[in-house]
Amino acid sequence: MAIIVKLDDRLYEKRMTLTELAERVDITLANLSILKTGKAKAIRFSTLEAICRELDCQPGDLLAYQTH
Amino acid sequence: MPQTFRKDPLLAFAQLVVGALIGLFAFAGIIVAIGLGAVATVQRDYVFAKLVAAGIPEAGYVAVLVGLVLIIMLTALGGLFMRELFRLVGSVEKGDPFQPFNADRLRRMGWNTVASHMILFALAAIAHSFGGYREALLAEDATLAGFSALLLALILFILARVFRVGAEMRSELEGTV
Repeated sequence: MAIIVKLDDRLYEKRMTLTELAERVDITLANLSILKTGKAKAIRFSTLEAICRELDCQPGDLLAYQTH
Repeated sequence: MPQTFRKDPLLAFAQLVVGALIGLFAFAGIIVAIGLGAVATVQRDYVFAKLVAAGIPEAGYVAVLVGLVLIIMLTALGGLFMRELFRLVGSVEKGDPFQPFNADRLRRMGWNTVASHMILFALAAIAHSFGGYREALLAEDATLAGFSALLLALILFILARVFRVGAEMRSELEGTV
């Protein structure tokens, strides 16, 4: 996949668990897990906004484009 | 969102009515099939006598047999239509109706309506040949029923397209977080 999700890194920096983030952004743990493992096909701006707010970061800190 | 559809009294009622209609079509089909068997065998002479008494030529006997076969086909199509509708309502109740198989289901229902209407035309032609029922079948109601059937088929074909687009949109949303 060309777009990689760096949610793990940011969670580690903030010392936050995926469960805790799921509760804070009001998204199911299953969906957040899909995002974290790079299995998501798309992300809503509202989800991105909520994650950026809770992890105090920019979208670019969470997503990156990787050339093969 | 799927929770909205669950335990919907309208859907429960629809399933009850459609289920009863499936049974009714099956019952009618079986009864007419038995009647066809009787007319073709033990009641053959009786039917001949009745046709002669009504001033209908003997060839009318074949028309009666064909008419009964057409009625059996009509009940089979009616039953199939209701079965598709029953399953469609069931998928709505499960909260996931926008699926490609429902689009196919609606398309089949549309063709079923067209086929049923053609059988009705054939039955009307048979009745027309008997003369006695001519007025009844050529009445305004029959024309209106024909128009309604055409409209129903058209609506079903359009709904099939709507469901197909809905299924595609739903598929696009899958995996969105």
